[in-house]
Amino acid sequence: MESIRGPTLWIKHKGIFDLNELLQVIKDFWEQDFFKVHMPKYKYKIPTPKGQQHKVNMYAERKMSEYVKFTVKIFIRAFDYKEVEIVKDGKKIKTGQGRLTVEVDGVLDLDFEKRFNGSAFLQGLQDFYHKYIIKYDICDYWEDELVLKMVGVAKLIREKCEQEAIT
Amino acid sequence: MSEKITVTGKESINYEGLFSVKDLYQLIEDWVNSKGYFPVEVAVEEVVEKEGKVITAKLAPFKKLTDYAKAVINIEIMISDCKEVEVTRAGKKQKLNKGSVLIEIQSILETDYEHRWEMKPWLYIVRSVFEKYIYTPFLSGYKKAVRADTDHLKEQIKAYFNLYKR
Repeated sequence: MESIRGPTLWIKHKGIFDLNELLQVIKDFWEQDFFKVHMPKYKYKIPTPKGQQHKVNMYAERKMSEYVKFTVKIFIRAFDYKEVEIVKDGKKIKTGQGRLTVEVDGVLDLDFEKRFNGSAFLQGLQDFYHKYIIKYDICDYWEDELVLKMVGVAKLIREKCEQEAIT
Repeated sequence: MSEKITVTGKESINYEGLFSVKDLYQLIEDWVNSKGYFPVEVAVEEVVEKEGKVITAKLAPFKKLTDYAKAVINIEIMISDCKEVEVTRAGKKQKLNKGSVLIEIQSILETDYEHRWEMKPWLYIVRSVFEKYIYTPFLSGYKKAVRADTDHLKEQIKAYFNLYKR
């Protein structure tokens, strides 16, 4: 199995955001795109006077074809998180406030079913297949598709945090 | 490691006054898309302070010129003391931002980004000779194109800020 890593995207935010809503929105985003979402780790620290601390590890995966699989890992950390009540458009709403750091990482797995793992001959065959037959499918299509999905989820997170620098 | 050639060093644009963060970001994104670059936002940070918002964004759009060369434009946007204000322009009320902006642009030409010529020592030597004596005219052509793209982006941003100057 060969893995190709995409770039790491970082989002940092300090201010108003709703963590529960954010997690739900990310989950919905992937599920709408037929990804399977897993949340293997959710760490919650006993709140200090500054606020709560949450650490969430989640990853979404999808078999794009019989040979290619996308895995996007999202690591969310919320510090000094407090529930606050704000007035938005004349209505009182409950939301949160604190510091947020999100790390988005993407991996493109080729031959995830390990069909070419049998022998040295099969390994050579796989090298040939990657270098000469599907080279441009990997470089120009699958890699770009993965980065686009990562950029999409990053944009969605920034939208949910109501950041200014979004289009 | 792929070889990274700095085509244009860090060039900065400073502006202080009225502008729209959303429009500025849209302008850069439109430019990136129109020139065929692949949009990558490496890091975006937004902090709400007493004096206003502080926004830092690092973009690194890239374009694969060939299998061997890739153009990367590093754009760093730093906005400080950003406040929302309402102004009347041409008889219409408009929501804009007020603050100071620093944009740094650096363009890079990356060669052998697929790391194909560094598997063995002799390949590395062949690559050095190839790049120095055979590929030079192509590389200088790419450098020219990247420089032109960078200048165009700079002009676009400057023109955008000029719209808000009084």
